[in-house]
Amino acid sequence: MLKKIIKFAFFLCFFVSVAFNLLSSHKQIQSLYRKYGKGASSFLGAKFAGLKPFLKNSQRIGYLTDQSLDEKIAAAEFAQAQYVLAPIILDFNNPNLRFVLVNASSLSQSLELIKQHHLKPLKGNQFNILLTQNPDFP
Amino acid sequence: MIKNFFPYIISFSLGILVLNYYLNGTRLRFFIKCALALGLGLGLSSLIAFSSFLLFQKYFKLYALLTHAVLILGMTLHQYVIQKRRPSLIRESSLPDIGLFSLTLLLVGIISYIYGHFFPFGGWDAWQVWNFKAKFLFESTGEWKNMFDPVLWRSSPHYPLLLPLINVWGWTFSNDTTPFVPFLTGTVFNIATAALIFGTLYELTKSKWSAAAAIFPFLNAHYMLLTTSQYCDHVLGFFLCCTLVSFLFAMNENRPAFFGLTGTFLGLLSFTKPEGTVAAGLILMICTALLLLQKRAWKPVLWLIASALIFFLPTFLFKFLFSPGNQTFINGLTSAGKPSSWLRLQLILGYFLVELSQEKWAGLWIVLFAGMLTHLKSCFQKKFFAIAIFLVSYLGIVLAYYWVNTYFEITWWVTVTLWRILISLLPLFVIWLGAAVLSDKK
Repeated sequence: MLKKIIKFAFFLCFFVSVAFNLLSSHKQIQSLYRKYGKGASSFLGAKFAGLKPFLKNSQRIGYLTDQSLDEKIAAAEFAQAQYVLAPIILDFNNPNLRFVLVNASSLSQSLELIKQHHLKPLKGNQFNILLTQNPDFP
Repeated sequence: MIKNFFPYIISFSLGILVLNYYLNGTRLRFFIKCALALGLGLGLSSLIAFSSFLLFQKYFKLYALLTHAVLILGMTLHQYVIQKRRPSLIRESSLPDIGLFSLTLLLVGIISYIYGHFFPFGGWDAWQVWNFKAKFLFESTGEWKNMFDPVLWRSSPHYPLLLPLINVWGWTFSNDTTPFVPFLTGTVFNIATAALIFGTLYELTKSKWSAAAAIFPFLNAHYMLLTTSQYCDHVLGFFLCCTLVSFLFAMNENRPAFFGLTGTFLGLLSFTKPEGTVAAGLILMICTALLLLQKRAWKPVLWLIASALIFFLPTFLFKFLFSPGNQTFINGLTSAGKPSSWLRLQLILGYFLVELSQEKWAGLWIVLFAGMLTHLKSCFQKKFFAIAIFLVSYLGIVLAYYWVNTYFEITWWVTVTLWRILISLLPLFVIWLGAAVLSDKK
């Protein structure tokens, strides 16, 4: 009898958990729909698409920013830029390479970084990502 | 879009044909064979892709396709023309509960799609680690070893390459690195996990409740968010289950070749993640010890160890020739600056309990522990020894590693990683406790 009660209690526990899981899944999916609508989450790496053809024969380029990678958005942008530009390696805060990507918090900050490191701007896109060249690179 | 499915279909066919050699003369049902064939096939395809990098220093699509074609044609001819076998995927003349099985997999596929379509590029570790590596490998023209440059430490260059190589193989028919392929890989592994849970429980208990157990983890929002994020944790979890399930049935069937399948899955498991390498080593020790203790003939042990050594080869090559080593490790036992303190151990143990009781699991672990408590005797039957010993020792190793490696601040580290380890173990817990509960019910 006791064994039957224990088993009944287990199956009751199982069904309660199933119901609770269904409810929380429903809430989660609803919140995802609210956040992204019927589309998908945005991909910050899209900002860097289109730069690859200009970086032919480069295995490693620099990446300059005025933001710390402790900031979530800045870290995500850097990681996604690395993903989009792979197999080119992005060397964080290294201006001593032939090509350097400058992605600061604003265009004026980017220009400031360019000036500070004596870089030569080559190309910019609508997201204020600037591709620059280091004239001192051999 | 359809062409992106071809690599998975080819891998499945390859898996079935290789599985036929391992399972020759066994009586396993269609359901479990499907799951094992899918895992085996995808694992072998990733090894073929890896061999392309070893031979040609890049991913040579034609080589990968030709190798698959030669293997599939060769094995088909050998099995069905020379050996005149019947197609062994379907042994039974009728397939009872095939509808229930298909419905379970369809449901898991739909749930995976619902979650996954919000994140076509996956989660953080997808584009920083797994998909980044896959893209790096696929697009490199000889410079693939740059991937192990220490400057890329954020992408964990010491992580093995099974998942990225599966995605590389997945892109074979498309000319670009479409994010649909990693999404599909994640979904396929979810479906394969459900098939394996269903197949194993059905094989052991013949209960229709196997379907409820197979769907159970996929109802959890937390589990689904991770498994559709294109990470490797559920891939590790799947191969972990394949390894221990194949050992369980090998012990039942007592056919030496079957132990070879366990060895093969051990090798594939070791190539998933560093945790997988540790788990594979641990399982190999446990299985060998159990075989020796039970005084089985030498053949099963030989099959297990020989095939494990062969399929551990990619992991060894990766570890000793390419991996830059773990750059995020400080031995707290010897470090004066960052010692392993007792407070750290207390925090780890405390957080472990906090994690299990969190609302995000929606009572999932409570049900599993209730199942264990109410069916304690069945859980610790002789046939489940390997699983029980593995789970206890593996969790012990994980906790010890958290304590010894003091590179990271512990509260942050356990918060972001422990739940993933639990998710990789969840399907194995479901199989173990599901089998105990359902066989008792029967």
